[in-house]
Amino acid sequence: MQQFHLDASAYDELLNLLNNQHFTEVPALSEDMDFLSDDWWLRDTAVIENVVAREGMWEIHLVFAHYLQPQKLIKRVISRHVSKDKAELNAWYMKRLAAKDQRGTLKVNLDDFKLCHS
Amino acid sequence: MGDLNTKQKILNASISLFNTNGLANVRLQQIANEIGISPGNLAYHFRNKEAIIEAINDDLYEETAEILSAYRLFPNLLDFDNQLTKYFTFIQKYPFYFLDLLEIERNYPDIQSKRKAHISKMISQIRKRFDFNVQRGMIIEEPRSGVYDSVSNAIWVLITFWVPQNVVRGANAEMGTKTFKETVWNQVYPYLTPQGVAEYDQLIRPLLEQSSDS
Repeated sequence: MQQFHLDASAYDELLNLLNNQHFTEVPALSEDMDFLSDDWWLRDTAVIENVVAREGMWEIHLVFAHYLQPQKLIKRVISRHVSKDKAELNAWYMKRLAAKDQRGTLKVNLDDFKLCHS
Repeated sequence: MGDLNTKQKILNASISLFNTNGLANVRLQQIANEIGISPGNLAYHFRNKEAIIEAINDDLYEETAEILSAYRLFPNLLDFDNQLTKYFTFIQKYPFYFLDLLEIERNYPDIQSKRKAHISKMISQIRKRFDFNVQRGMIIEEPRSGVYDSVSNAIWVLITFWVPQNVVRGANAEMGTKTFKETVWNQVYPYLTPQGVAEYDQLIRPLLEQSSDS
């Protein structure tokens, strides 16, 4: 097998990158990881259920979107079912369980996406 | 497993004989005698001396690559000292690799081509250490263009020809950890800034004082 060979200029560049790493890479602040625990916004989200056919099964996806800033959202795969009807029924129950207001008054307004149609 | 052990024994005996007698002066019979096997048994494992040298060359290449990978493991002067220790251990293990330079150059082009691939990397690393420590404020800005290139080359020459110069001067080729490291560090010392000297006094000097020449 032929040995991998790096030419001198590429090797020099690699060493420069290693050197620079020391000056550019600084330890992260603890606040930088706040997004992992900062989940209060989830209390004001509209829950949208979605049933998707994937790999021969029906998957229930729940989308949690902030009701005033719908671009702020997370999507979670909840469960998978063989029957579409069963998946839709479960999705409806899951949505009822997950939503803050069980009557479903928190809704995403299309205008909040601030889409530009021009 | 038995095969592997005999093979390894042959390689170890060969390295030891190459180190004492030189690459050109070792015969297969001597290697077989050294480990107490018949020349026929030795030929079963390695068909000739070239095959043994080829196998040793693979180890040499791996070990040099391992030394070269010890770059920027510590963000201070210790990094170079750590690599120097590795270089010296390598020198002690394979003095023939440095003593028989011309023999290798003439008769073993494969070893030589692998050595050459590592020479440029070794010099580049030493040179880049200067850049890194200039950026850290431990070494002064290059007094004039090309000075650090020359010093890097000089350090490489020191490392490579440490064993031959020891032999020529009649010293034991395996002696001199302290002198070796001090000589290399003394090439760098004049270029240290006051912070560099402080770091050297704190990290490197105690290590040099602890090491010995025997």
